[in-house]
Formats: sequence, structure tokens, C-alpha cells
Amino acid sequence: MAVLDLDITSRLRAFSVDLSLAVGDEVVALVGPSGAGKTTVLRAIAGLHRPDRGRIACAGETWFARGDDGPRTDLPPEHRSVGYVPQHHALFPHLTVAGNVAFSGAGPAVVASLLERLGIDHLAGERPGRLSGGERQRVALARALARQPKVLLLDEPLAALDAHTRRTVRDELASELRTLGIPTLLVTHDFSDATALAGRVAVIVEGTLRQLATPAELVGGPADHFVVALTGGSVVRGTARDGHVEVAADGEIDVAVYPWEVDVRPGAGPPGALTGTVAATTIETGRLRVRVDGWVGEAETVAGLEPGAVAHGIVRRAHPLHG
Amino acid sequence: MRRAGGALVLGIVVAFLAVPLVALFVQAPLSDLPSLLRRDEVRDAIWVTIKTNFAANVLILAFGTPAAWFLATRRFPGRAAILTLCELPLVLPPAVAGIALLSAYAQGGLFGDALDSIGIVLPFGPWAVVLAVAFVASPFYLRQAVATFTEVDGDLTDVARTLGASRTRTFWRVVLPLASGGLVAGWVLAFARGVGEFGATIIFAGNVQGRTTTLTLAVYQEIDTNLDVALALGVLLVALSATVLLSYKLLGAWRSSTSTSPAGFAPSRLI
Repeated sequence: MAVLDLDITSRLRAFSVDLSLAVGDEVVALVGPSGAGKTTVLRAIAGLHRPDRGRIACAGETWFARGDDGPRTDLPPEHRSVGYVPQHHALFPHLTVAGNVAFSGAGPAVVASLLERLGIDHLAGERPGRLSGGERQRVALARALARQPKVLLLDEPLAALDAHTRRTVRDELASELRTLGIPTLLVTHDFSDATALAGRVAVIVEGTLRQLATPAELVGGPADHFVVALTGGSVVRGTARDGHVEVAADGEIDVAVYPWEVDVRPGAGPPGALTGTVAATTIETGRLRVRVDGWVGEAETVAGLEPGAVAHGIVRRAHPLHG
Repeated sequence: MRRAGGALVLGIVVAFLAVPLVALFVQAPLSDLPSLLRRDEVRDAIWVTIKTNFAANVLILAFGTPAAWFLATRRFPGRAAILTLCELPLVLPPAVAGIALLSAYAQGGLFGDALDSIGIVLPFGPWAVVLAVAFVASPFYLRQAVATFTEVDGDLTDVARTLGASRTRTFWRVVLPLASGGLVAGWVLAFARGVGEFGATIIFAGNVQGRTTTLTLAVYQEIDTNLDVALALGVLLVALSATVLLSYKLLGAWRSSTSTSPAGFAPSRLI
């Protein structure tokens, strides 16, 4: 059952945000390039941005409604039940951690139990300026939850963290969001963050929804080139045969290939393999990634795969584009 | 050689600024200071200064603060023009401010007759001093207040709203605490300018002992009648000015040590 229902149109400078989305008790990630209108969506739900047209409802209550005719509704932010964590967290610098969490009027018992649950009870008397990135993130989350919101909105929750703490904080946040069980919308430009945190991913480009699916579905059947690039794949030529697709240099359709399904080896390959010149090799999360002309694969050793060398890729699996 | 030349120039500058102040203290009958400052005309001037400046500063804070918040947070046509208008008294010669106030509120002026008909006569009374002080001093507060409010991170006020705080409550609980240092700094400057007001006051409010003669006007008047009193008033005003400047500096140091910016992140906002 959808708890949060939105269908909004909002003209921005360069394009128009036009989005319709139903969110149940789940985590949905809005993923897309910077400036795609993702933050605008969160702000519209929170009541901090007024769309030109549309409707936002939560648990049967209309928060915003504005059409060409008919009655208008636009509840101010304080009368909507949202927990909002903006990018960089926006902790009140003049209040202690406990003061931040208690801002919404939560009693001392609620504040204490939230601080304990998020493992920041020892920081209750600290000022935000003295906290680490991960700690600030947890304080912001505790503050947003203190009002027991019906919807949780997180804007780039991991953007302010350095690469070192990022993964730890991400895992903690993921397990916290799973146990919460309230509709949660989070904005990120990083697909791997989205897969770690969200059950469904909404890919948004220039204000419009390109694809809404689970991470596995996005990889298995990306809608277009942009979704392929976002999920870390490459688009190459291929053919469709017997209900599945495979790579073919002279193929008539585009297919998606992912690095973890392409084995890169030195030298020219057999027919049906990808070929090209090595552009760069990098080690990413323990795997050796090889970037060849228009595609990326993985290899076991760099030997023979120096930049400029000819290489080929054996594709174990290719994916059709569901445009 | 170059260093010696620089030091010499600096010495000239320091001497130029310090000599008159030193001379004031040398010439003033310091031992008679307590008795001089207890004279009727001095006590009247102190009292008029306190009353009129108190009223003017209340007006500046009460109207200036919400006006500055509006200017800092809203974008509307004519905003830049209004900001410039608010700063005009900074560069306007005080005598011009005085004659302008007269043209507006004196009998025969733009609003003078209308005010007169309902029994309000502003010129040459204490309220004329209040208006003159508020007119010349308010830009110091307004300018600083707009700048300070602009610095308050919009994300903080947004979050406060989502946490259930109304606009008004957000202003009192988030904006004002964060802006207080800057507001006080602006107010200190406005206060100092108001106490030093002379030109607009003497033209618009005249020089009536016990009604409109402030400390600065008293200095001017006593030069002719009793130089010792004028010198004593000078010493008093130097002490006051030094206190104001010192507290302004201390406040600045205190503000930069308790910076309100959140951990060095630029307040950016994605569309």
C-alpha cells in the first residue's frame, strides 16, 4: 500500500520536474546527476518548495494539491509530518546534540532513547562543531526521527563524509532504515549508495523519471544508455537471438555489459569477443578493472594489459535495453 | 632605509590622530571633572541624551530587525533600490538630513501641517532629536543586520520548519541566536553614531537646554560660555567612545571564536 503519493510538476530554470511516485513502507532512492531536480522533489514533499501543479498526499491526508481549478491545499512544513535531513545535515550550531534532537519538542526520555539507539548518547552535551562526519549524520537522523515523522527524507546522506568513513556509515544507515519501516526517500548521485540503502531506485534525469525498479532489475534490463552508465555498465553492439541478447560487433541493437561479467585478456580475442585498446587499469574494491575503448571489464592480472595494449573481453552475459 | 621611512610616516599618522585627544586631556581641568559634570546644564544634557537615544535605539531595533530580516530573505523587485535608500543616510551630510527632516515635518513642510492639525509638533522638541538620531544612525544597524541575516544558513531554517516550528518560532529559536553577535555589533555602531549626532539635531531639533540639548550640542554651546565644561564633556564623550569601540572589538573577537558556520561546509543547495 502506498503511504506517500506524489504527482508534481515544477518548472525550474532549465527544465521541468515532472514526477509521479508512490512510496510504501520502503526506501526509495532518487538517483541522477547533480541538478536533475532530485532535491526539488524532497523539498516539495517537505513543503519547502511549492510545485506549479500536482498533488502530494501521505497516509490519506492531502499535503499539497494544486490544479488548474478546484480547491488548493498547501500545508506549511510544520504541519506536514516529515523528517528532513538536508545535505550537510544542517545541525543547529548553537545547540548541543541533545538540544538539536529535542528541537521538535520531544521529551527527554524520547531524546535519550534515540541517542542511545543511534549510539551517540555519549555526545549529548557536545556542540555540532566538534563532531565527526559520521556522528553529525547520526545526530541529524535522530533529530529527524524525534518527531516520529510519517515520511523520512534524506538528501545526499553520505555526501559530506570522506571515503574512509563512508562505507561504515552507509552500512549503519542501511540497517537503521530497514528497521524503521517508514516511507523513506533518499537522494543520491551514487548508484552504489542507492543499492546499499534502498529497495527501489528511481533514476531521474532533467526532472523526469527514466526508470523505477529494484537495483537488480536496473542492471538486468536498463531502460537506456543513461541508466547503463549510471549502474556502471557500458553499451556495445549486439544481437537478439532466442529471447536473449549477446555481443556482436556488427549487431543491429545496443546491449549492456557490466564489468563483473566481462573477462579481459591480452591480445586479440576469438570471434564474438569484445576487442580494443586498453585505456587504463585500476583497482576498485579489490577487483582489477580494465577500461578498454568503449567498455570496461575485469581481469586477474595486469600482465599484458598495459595502457595501449590490445585486449579482448569474453562477455559471460549481456543485457537488453528496455527502452 | 625604506623601513625607517615607513615608520616615520606611521608616526606622523599616529601623532595626527592622537595629539588632539592628548591635548583634550591636558587642557581639561581633570581634578574639577566631578564637579563640572554635576552642573545643571551638563546633567540636563546627559539626561536628554539618554532619553532620546534610548527611544531612537528602541525604534531602530524594533523596526530595523524585522525589516532587515525581510530584506535578507526575500527577493522582490526594487529590493536593491531599497537597500541603497537604507544606506543613503551614511553618506548624506548630517546638515542635509536636518534640513530634509525639517522639510518633511516642520510647519509648512510636507507633513508638518497635517501633524500640526492633530496636535503633533515635532521640530525643536525631544522627538525631533529622536527622529534625527534614528535617521542618521539606523543605516549602521540595518546594513549589519541584513548582512548577518543573509549569513544564516537557509538549510537551518528549513529544517526548523520541518521539525514543527512556525516561521516566528524559527526566527526566535534559530535565526536570532545565530545572528545575535552580528546584530549587537551593528547596534553598537548605530548607538555610537547616535550619541555623536550633531548636525541633523541642531537643525531639526534646535538647542533647547533640558529638551533638545544633547551632550554634543552642549559641547558646542559651552565653548562660548564655559570652556572648562566643554572640555569636561569632551573627556566624558571620549571615554564613552573608547568603551564602545573596545566592546565592538571584543565582540568581534568573540564572534570569530564562536563561529556559527557548520564545520566549514559551504551552504550549497542543489536544484
